[in-house]
Amino acid sequence: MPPVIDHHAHINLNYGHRHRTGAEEVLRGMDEAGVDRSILIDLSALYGGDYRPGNAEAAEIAARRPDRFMCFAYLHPPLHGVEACLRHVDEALARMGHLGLKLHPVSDCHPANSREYVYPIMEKCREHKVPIFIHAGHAPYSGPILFAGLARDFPDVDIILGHIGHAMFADACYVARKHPNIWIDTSMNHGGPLRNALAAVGPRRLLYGSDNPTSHPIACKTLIESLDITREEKDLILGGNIRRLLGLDKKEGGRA
Amino acid sequence: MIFDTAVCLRHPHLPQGREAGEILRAMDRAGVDRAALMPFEAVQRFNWREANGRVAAACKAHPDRLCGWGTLNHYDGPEETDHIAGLGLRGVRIFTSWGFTPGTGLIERFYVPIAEKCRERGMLFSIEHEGHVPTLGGAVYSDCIVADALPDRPVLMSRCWSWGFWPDYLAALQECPNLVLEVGVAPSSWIRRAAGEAGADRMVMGSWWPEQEPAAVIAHVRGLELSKADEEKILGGTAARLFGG
Repeated sequence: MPPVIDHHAHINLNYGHRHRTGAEEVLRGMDEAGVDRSILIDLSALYGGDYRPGNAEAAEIAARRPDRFMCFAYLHPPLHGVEACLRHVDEALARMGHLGLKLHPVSDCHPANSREYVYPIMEKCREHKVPIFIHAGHAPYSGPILFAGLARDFPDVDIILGHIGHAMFADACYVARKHPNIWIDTSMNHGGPLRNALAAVGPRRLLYGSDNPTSHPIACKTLIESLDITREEKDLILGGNIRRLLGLDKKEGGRA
Repeated sequence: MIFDTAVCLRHPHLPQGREAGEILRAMDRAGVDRAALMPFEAVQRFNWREANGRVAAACKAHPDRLCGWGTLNHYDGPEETDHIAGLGLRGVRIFTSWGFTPGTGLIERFYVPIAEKCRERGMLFSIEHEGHVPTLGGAVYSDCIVADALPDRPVLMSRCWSWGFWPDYLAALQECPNLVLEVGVAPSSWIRRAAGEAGADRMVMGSWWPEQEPAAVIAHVRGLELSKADEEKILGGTAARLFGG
């Protein structure tokens, strides 16, 4: 059985300021769901914190347990300004070991296609040859149609569209079908949107993601297993596609 | 010239606008020269042909002031579009927010053939989307899919009222250069941005009277400090070009 990789998990998810989640909580869900590895993304900035120490923490966890974790760097470009953010990107990608970047436009109050805040980040993705993962599906600022201009202006940057666009899944399917550099994150949505996404882009641009621990990783994994496609196609969605997108076979050799 | 591209004949929930005479008086009060009537009653009673016929009769009685949209159940497709063309109506508008919304993969099957028939018959094609969650949620995919399929024809996005989705409406205008935006009493900043980014020749006034007062839409557009030329396009020039004078 090929390794199962959840490309969408979080540390420092803050449940109503009662406690902040750590890697052990993510790991528990992974073990229960049969997930081999997860990509950790810090969420400190979503709750008024600083993304920089959070990204350092995620990188430390991934360095300690490379058999279970990888990491993407969360960015909040308006928080300290774009220049500081770009400097952090260089550090996160070149020194910390992050494999991609994450934006959450609706929470951090900038349009997903902002020329001021997002285009400079896209330039960095191009320079470092890494994908960008952007939350999608909440108005204002993160409607899937906003991804179209990004995909057109940066055809050499892979863009992961979050949550199949939540309720705006039909828009997500439209932009992903039209722009081949858009990949779809399957987390936190239902069977209908997932089947729509499969019909729109096929099994090679869908990425298993759970939003663990917001949602238990077994939920979306079960949805994917229930799709009427071949075992090989399910394995692509459950891990093969993110390996290909990140070039893990080349970077890691035989490791799961 | 002021041209209101969206006026309801027999609104299903509001008492105003039962007959053409009442609509003409409302237009006179607001300073509207021409209006495109919509058979809006059909969204409640599904009396497509009767409602379209009533709009056509009003337009024939007042051709200098009124023209009309027809509407249909999209499953009736191009055949019903032919019938609407035969009535002398100037376009087909689909009222998606009231349940007439096919999902992904079905726009190509049901909306595009209607839009193609509209092109063949020289009529406009328009999609209304208030943005009912979860069916649409302010989504623009249906407009974009039709616009991509008929790049030589305008596709009019109607009833773009939910302010939170205006970033999406602007992105759709950028993605599909043949989309045209209907403007009511939307937030001022978004109308300005649409005029700046898409251009006033892709914007038309639509009040949906009796839901909004046309006079309020006119005053709002005139208060935005756009150029006089852009003001005139939004309030009438663009619609006159699209509807054929």
